[in-house]
Amino acid sequence: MKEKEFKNIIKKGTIETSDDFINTVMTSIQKSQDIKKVSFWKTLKVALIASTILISGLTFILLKSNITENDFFHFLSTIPKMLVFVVITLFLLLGVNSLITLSEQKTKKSHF
Amino acid sequence: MKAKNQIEDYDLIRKINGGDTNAFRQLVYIHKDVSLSLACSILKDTILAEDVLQDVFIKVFYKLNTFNFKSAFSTWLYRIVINTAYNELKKQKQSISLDEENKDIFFAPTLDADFMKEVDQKKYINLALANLRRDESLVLRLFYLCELSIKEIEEITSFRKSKIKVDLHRGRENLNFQLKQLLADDINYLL
Repeated sequence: MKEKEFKNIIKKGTIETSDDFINTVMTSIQKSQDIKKVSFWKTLKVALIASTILISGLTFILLKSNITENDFFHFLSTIPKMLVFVVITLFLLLGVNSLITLSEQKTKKSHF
Repeated sequence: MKAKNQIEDYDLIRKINGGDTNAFRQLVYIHKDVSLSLACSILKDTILAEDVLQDVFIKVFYKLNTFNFKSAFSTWLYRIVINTAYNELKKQKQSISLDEENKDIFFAPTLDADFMKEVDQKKYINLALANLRRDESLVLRLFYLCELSIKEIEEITSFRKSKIKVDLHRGRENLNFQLKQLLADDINYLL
């Protein structure tokens, strides 16, 4: 057989996918993205709860508890409270901002 | 033609990276059949090959932003298809011999008037290709179906140049033999 005939034969033998192949692929991508989205919000939720507990704890130690001079946490009472509050708020805002940006980028990439 | 296809692929990829899902649908449509044929050469099972191909396209969707536009998209895609298919083959650890595999589909051709319909032609060609060694069938398809050069096949498969040439030569001989076995004189209908 000649080269051209081989080419012709092999091209004729191209195997076709099933009719719903593309739809199945697109649905699978959609599903995997939904799972990713859910896990993202789950992570955000966990992160927010953890930060709230941490901040509540710190606030309690700083403002409510009676810290004596011999106490282990005494050094905390020497830090200016307003400064701690401002720094923590700034960090929280930055964190939330970066999470929102990340989420927006993901949604932009997957317009289904 | 090849360059035109490449430009078309690049345009689609840019659109996909910009968030256009229909462009991905189009990209899958363009490459699905050739990719499935390649996966079938390795796995010798259309259903399994289609499952593998679905995973490949999902992988491609998420990795498309890493495509660097330096090579043809098809080359990049075929490499993923071949690697994934070989990995699947390893997983399957196929111990079934080819004779067993094809026991049910080997049959004597019934040479009636409708014998050489397009569907039948395809069936016999694929039967003949399935009887070749995996590497031979793969190299033949890459060379004739994808119209790749030996150098490109070398890049995609990581086979040595000499092996590719031998596989091409043996593949041609064996395909010719298989088709003659299956079709006898009716092989001329295929040409």
